[in-house]
Amino acid sequence: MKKSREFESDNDVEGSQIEGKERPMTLLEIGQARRKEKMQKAKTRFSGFGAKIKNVFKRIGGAGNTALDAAFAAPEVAKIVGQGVKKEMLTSAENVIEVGKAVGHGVKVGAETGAGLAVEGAIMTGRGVKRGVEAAGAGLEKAGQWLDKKDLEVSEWTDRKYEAMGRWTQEQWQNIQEKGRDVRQGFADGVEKARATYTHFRENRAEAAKQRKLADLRAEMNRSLEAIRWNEARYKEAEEQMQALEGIDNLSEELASASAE
Amino acid sequence: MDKNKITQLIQEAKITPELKQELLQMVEQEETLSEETIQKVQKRLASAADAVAQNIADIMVESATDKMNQDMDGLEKDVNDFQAELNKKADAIDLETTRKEM
Repeated sequence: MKKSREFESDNDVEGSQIEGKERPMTLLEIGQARRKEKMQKAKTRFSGFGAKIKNVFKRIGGAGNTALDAAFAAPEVAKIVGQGVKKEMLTSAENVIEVGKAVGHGVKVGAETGAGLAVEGAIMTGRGVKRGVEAAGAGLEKAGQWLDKKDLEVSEWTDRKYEAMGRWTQEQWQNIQEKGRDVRQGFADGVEKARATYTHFRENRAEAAKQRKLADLRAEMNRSLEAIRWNEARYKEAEEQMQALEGIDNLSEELASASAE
Repeated sequence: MDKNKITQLIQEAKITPELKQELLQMVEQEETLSEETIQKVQKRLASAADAVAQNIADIMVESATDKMNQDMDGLEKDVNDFQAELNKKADAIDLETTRKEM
């Protein structure tokens, strides 16, 4: 087989890492490099997205009173978060779990396929590699029946491999999506607990003060705080606040009984 | 009403110095304590308690947000790992394809 000029120039551009190999290698390497670049782009896209979402949460949580205000402002906490993300990202994301779809979208756009899922992006890039092999066969002005036959075999093998990889990818993706749902649910539960605690306090305190049942109410709030036990620093803060509450209530009770004497 | 006793109770209470100062000023304004003043003090205590309850709720929200951030980090790592693994698998197939092609 004669060595084509195009092929030599390909070699120059790529600076083939493996020497002494035959033609398809270089084309494959080009495909491989392109795919890597695309995946890298998709990854970068996601990193930016993740950081921005985190900033939204930081803003919601870090703004003191506005945290609780935000929790009360809308009927569903998830909606608040979703709107923050939406505003921040100008995407159609409706809630936090949409981050999963957004990543898929990033991969999709990065891979420049028409497919909607990351898994299909992976398969498509795989086919891109295969097309590279096919193009090599065509570009060599019919290198012979041997190459055609070999190419077909390799194609089938590659298809099978990518099919298996697609299944794996789908599975991984589902796991990630599931985790995303758990994260969102955990956040919603935590904020809901805070809302309930505060509402309960507001609604019951006046009555409790009359009936001298403030200790019961405090104990109930303490049980709510158990929900954030996992976060020691926050728990300490909350515990200090509970002590402040106890000091206030005790004084209130003492004044009431002293003035009744 | 025993002003001395009320003053003593306020001074001994486990509350913030700022609140203590504020209450003491309210009490000291009168020679003899009226029921009205006691009510005022009680009202001030109730609003202080409400503010503290709001603090607690805020801490709970912040805590949930902290956890969320951590979970997001974990999720991001999962996705990165997943993409790295995906790349590795794709590379392996590329390589094997090439080898078979040889």
